[in-house]
Amino acid sequence: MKYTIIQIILMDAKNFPLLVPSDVDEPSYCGFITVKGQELAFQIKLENNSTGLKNAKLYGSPKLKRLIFGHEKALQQRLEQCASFSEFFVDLKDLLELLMTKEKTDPSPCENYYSTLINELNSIGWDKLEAFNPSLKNLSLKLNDSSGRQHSIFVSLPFSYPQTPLIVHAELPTPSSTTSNHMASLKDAVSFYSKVSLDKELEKFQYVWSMLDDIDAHTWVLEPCKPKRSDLIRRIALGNHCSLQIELDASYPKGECQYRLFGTESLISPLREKIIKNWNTWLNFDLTIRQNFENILEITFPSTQTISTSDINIECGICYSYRHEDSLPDQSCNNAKCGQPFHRSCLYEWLRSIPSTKQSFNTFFGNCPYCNDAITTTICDQ
Amino acid sequence: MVNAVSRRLLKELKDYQKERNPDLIELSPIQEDNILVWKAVLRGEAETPYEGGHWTLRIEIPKNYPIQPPKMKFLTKICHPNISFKTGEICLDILKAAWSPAWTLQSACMAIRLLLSNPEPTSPLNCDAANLLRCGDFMGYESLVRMYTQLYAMSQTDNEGSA
Repeated sequence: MKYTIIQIILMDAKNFPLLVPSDVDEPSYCGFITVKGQELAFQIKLENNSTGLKNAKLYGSPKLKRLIFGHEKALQQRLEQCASFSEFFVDLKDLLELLMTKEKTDPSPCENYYSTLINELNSIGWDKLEAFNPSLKNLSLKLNDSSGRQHSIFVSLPFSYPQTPLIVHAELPTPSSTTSNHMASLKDAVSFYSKVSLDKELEKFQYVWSMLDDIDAHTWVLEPCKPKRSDLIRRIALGNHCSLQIELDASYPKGECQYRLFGTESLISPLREKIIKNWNTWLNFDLTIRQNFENILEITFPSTQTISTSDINIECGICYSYRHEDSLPDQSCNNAKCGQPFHRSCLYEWLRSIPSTKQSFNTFFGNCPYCNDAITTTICDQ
Repeated sequence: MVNAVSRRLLKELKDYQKERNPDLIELSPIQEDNILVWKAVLRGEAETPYEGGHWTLRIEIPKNYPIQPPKMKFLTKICHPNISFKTGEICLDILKAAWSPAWTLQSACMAIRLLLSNPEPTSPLNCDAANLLRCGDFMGYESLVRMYTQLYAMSQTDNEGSA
């Protein structure tokens, strides 16, 4: 058996001249594999009394080990599948070549990168560290403001840190604050945002945030699905396929806020009339924006506790999903008994495919796929 | 677009599995890695000549489903005026011009099942069966259908069950 393997190796000597049997008793071979001009030491141990490469074990120099880190499983699989040495070596060589080119494009961090990072985290306190990714390129810190709201500060670390500054940003509702800031150290970042809070920069948003928190707690928010601190828009479910979208203004949170109603015209128009009729009663600033809207619309918003998902049912009747290519169902059948919502793009695709659909400029006139009542939509930009 | 299609199909599959339909014994993709080809097994309606039979259908779903209707055909031989005896092709308006996204694979299968007891002999794919109905020979039609049901739709399910 040993003899045949040695034969194979001798046969492959042309391709792998640096491989020799290392042990007389145990079938094991060691040598070098040449990849991109670099010679990597490795050893392969075969199982006794086995003819193939099954259960063979591959050992390598630290450099080789580092290169194949994360690919061990695939390599083991190849080792089991390959019929001959040469086949496996070709595979190994290909993989190493690929990984080596990849490694070259990834610059390694500066000498004192990690030690600086650890020292800094020690100085600001590890409890402030919220999350980090395995490469330590991005991390987030958490800070509490005066009202106890937790904020995340996102830090991306360039590999040349500390020579080049950190890029730091936080989710704040104004465009100027969300743009990235360059900071010399994590400590600076923490003190900057803490100072911001002391400087009433964060305080400015407390009112808006408390309004938004009230909405999030008491209504069924459809959009955004995971509101960030910088999101000022809330789309609230009203039931029967209808929804209300409210947009607050960070600079004038007590002023009139933007709103938009979605859903069947027959259900929405009474709500719209109520808004027109009651809008001037919006005087009570002791109440939250949600409470004001409830007073104006003369309804109570359904909350996650009071209704189930099926009652909300605002999925598109064509693609059966709520979110489709970042758009939400904003068209709906005007038949009060139907009221089926659709994505504009889905409805457009459907009406376009039907020969009986009439088009006038950019409006399509057709029939609802569900109740066959007249329905119209406008051309999608996409 | 394929993504939106698979999302809708997965939802349809979930809806079917949530509430099993006794008339539709099976409705699922044939292979796990291809959601665009499904298989359905229909149970023949009681008190019709199709009683006791199980028919397998192959459903091919176009990439722009549900804008385009699914392509359905019988794999099990069936004798029906609107279904081709040879190819299993089905002549049903909702699978062609009358299709709308409001239909689902399950409701389309149920529509086919309803077609079995409500044949339309004026647009036949199986002229022999249609001619019997057009001549008013209901007895002859029913016994012909029952014979083919026993011949193909009962034995085959037994074979499938044991296989």
